[in-house]
Amino acid sequence: MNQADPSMFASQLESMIAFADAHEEFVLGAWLSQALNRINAINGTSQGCTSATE
Amino acid sequence: MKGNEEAAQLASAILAFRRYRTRALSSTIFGEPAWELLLEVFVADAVGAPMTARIVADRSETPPNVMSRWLRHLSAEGLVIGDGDGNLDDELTLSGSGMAAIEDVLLQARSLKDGIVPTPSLNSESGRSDIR
Repeated sequence: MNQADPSMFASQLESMIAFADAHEEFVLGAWLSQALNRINAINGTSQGCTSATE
Repeated sequence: MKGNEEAAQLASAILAFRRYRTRALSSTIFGEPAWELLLEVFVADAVGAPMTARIVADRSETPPNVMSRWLRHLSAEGLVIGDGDGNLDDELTLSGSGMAAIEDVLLQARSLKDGIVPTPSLNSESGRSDIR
C-alpha cells in the first residue's frame, strides 16, 4: 500500500466539500468541513475557511 | 406543557447541561450543531431576542464553516427561516413546522423527566454501597 501524503488531505477535502456544496449536500459538507478543520489543526495551518457563507 | 415559557426554560436547561458536559469532559467528544442551533433559536423566539448562527457557533464552539452548512441544511429542510444562504449573521427564527417539532421534542423530554423517580443512592453514602 502506498504511504498517504498528508499534505494532500486538505486539498482533497476541499474538493469534496465543493462537490457536496454543489450538490446541496450540506450535511455531508458539514462533516467534511469538520474533518478539514481537524486536518488543518494537525498540519498546523489555519482552520479551513471553505465558506458556505462565513 | 404550560405554554412557551416552560418549554423555553426546558430548552435553556438542556443547553446549559450541554455546556456543562463539555466543561466537565471535552468539547471534542460532543457535537450536534444543528440541535444547538434549533434550541437556541427556539429560546430566542420565546423571549423575543435576536439570534444568529454566529452567536450559536460561538456559544457551542462550532467552527463557522461547519455551522454555516448546518444552517443551510436546516433552511433547506424548512425548519429555520433565514436567508437560506447560510449567512451566519442572518437573524433566524423557527418555521411553523420547526417550532412544532421542537415543542413536540421538549414535551417528550419533560414527560421523560417527570417519570424519573428520585433515588437516594445518587446522593448518599449508604446508597453508593448498593450500586456495587
